[in-house]
Amino acid sequence: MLKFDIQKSFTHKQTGQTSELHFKAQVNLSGVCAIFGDSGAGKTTLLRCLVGLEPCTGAIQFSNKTWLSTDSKQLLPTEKRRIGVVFQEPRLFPHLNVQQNLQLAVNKAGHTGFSIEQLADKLGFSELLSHQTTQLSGGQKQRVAIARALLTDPQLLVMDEPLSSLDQGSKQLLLPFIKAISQQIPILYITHSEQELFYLSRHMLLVNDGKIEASGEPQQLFLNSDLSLIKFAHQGLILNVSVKGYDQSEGLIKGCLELQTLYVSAESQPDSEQIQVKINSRDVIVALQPIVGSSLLNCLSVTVEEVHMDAQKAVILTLQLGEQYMYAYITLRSFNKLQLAVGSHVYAHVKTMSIVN
Amino acid sequence: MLRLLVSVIFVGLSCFSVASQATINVAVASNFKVSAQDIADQFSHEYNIDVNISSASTGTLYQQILHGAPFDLFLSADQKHVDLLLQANKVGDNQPFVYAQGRLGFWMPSAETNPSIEDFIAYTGRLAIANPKFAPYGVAAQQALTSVGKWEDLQYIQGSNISQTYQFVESNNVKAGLVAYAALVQKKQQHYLLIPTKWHQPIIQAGVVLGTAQAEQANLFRDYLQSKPIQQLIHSQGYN
Amino acid sequence: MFSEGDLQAIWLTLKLASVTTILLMLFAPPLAWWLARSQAKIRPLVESLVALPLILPPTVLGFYLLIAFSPNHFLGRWWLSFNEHSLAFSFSGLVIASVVYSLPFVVQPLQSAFVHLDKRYLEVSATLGYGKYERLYKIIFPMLLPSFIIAGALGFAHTIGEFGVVLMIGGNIPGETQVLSIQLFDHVESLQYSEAHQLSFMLLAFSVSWLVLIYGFLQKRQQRILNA
Repeated sequence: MLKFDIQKSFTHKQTGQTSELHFKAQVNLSGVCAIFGDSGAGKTTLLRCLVGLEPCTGAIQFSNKTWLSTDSKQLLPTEKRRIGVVFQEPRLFPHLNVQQNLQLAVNKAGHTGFSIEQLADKLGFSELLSHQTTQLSGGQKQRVAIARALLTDPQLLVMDEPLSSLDQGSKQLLLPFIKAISQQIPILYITHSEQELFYLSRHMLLVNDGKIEASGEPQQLFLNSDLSLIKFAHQGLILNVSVKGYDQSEGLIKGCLELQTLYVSAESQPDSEQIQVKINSRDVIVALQPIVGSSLLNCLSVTVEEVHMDAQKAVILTLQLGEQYMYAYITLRSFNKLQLAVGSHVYAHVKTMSIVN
Repeated sequence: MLRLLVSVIFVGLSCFSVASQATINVAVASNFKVSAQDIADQFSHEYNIDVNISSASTGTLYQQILHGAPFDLFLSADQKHVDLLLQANKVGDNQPFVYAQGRLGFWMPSAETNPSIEDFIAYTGRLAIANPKFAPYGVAAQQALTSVGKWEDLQYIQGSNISQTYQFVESNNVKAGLVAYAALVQKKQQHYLLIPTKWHQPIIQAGVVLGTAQAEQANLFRDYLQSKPIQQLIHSQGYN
Repeated sequence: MFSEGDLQAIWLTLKLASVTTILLMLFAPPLAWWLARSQAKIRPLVESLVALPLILPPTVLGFYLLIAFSPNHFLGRWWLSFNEHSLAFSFSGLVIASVVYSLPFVVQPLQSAFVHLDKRYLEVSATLGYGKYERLYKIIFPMLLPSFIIAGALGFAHTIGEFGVVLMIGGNIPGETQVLSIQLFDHVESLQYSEAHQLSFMLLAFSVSWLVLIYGFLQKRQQRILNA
């Protein structure tokens, strides 16, 4: 359990204006808890306060330990909090080679559940151990940085957009790794990638304008139109699909979405029973009757749950299918022509979709 | 533009120097500086010739003159450096002259009274002297100490010139020293013993005119220095 | 090639420079760290005081030290309460003078390294579990090792070349205060030019190679690390 109620005020050097950050939440720590929000919302500041790198006032409790309590004048310094931190940039020590960088963590932490060799092997940098860190690519550096954080024997792993500047290859290696690690060590994970959010976490903290706006399951929060998240959500939602089969010759997954069939293109057989797909709201075609004689593969029977008009004279329909939801983004003209309203029964045709995991 | 500016400044400066009186530059060994300044002021007053006094150690001044420093007259603290200039053909036909003879004083500020010769001979510990390798007062100090058989017995704090030796004693960092008698007179100090001249070679302070364009004025100053009233003045300031 | 006196002066100079450098390397780093990080109002004043020997004629420093060492003043009196001789004209006196005189040469390269040190490395060190002081000597010190060597080397070299202050407070005692530069001065003053040439050339060769080491090798290495 991580419980915090902290304040921090900033004075902007140029404008002289002060801004107040106030973060308050209580998080059950298991798996990955994502911290999600716009850039500039205060995610990194929150994380730095929790780690102890940024002075702040208030209280932080981790399990039964007090990390910070302004009232009782308690402050546990960063080095005593046993948090493994992966920053946005790798921050490896430039005067040491890879092995020495990792050894520095081991020397302090002593025996941990991990060994340098084991992590190097898993993260694919075994051959780089004797290299100078300056010779490494960005992705390689970040993998070493993650290993280093794990070697500190942390009781909590904190990651600040660790993958944001990495290539696709590194991301594909690291995302499953992080997810697996979270079974052993709870992770606080800053991201502004929905993909990472939905793949990794069952719980999220939504940070907006220097506050924790909401806390809960990602899908629930994305559907809540009262939250600032809605502008992300309107671009497209993520749905859970169970896998029924895979056709190697056509490269298609046959999935089941709320009792309806959904075909998803995939290069290979998925390795889990459940996949998550993101359906972009601009890729949904709404029709009163199923369209026949077209190239469209997927046709879902849905109900219009909510109608929302945006500033550009376009309409966002919230479509319900069973327990799950998707958005469709259509023109006002189409909306009027089809005479749609809340409760209308329509057919949603999905052009393309992407598998998130 | 720049050239114009330079010539304006140049012309301006030369007008300035033309307008003033004739000037001679005199290089003076540092132990004689104060006296020389006194005498130069009187001389300027009487002859309407400006005297610029530059003082440093004799060795330093010698080096400068050897390398063409624009001095018209050199007042050394010894005979040796004047002779060296003579050998180096830096003085034309001018003959060296003696303007003063230095005296050594054994100075012990912490003594109750003026120390006696016995006190000096019985003295133990550290003694400040000028560097006997090159400073004239240092050479004399070594001779004096050798002649009373003490040279091997003491530890020496060496000043690079006699003024520094004076300063070492004056600041109480060393108990006693062999310093210039002239400095003791000038600073009205007490508790010293005038070292008998028979204990060391005379500290002859010689000078020479350097055969420059101002040789005529420099000769005037030389004669003035050797005139009776000035010699009496020098004598009263602690020289023989 | 060198006379016994010269060899003694060389040995003494090396001893003086070594002792001075060791002392400076003990307390210059914390001072430089404070100067690099502190927001205190008196910081510019302290910084100026440290830099003073850069512009102050050594004779001024020598003059004041001579006064301070004398039994008429506190420092000299205190020293004489448990020593036979005055601090002036002693090796210890020269060490004190050299420490003051070479201080900016040691503090400034360190201060510059600390200013350019990315604060983020300190943060990482903390997250690796290293405490406030531990992270300095276990991580930052090795990282800035070239700067520490530069600082030490500059302090060492500057002490070797020290002249004015030693002339003022040394008293030219062989084996005690008669260092290389004074010996050289003696040679020149007593017109022993060939001896002077030998010592001068040795000092020149030492200085050139020393500076090439500092600027050609160490400084480049440090920049590579700091800019990484």
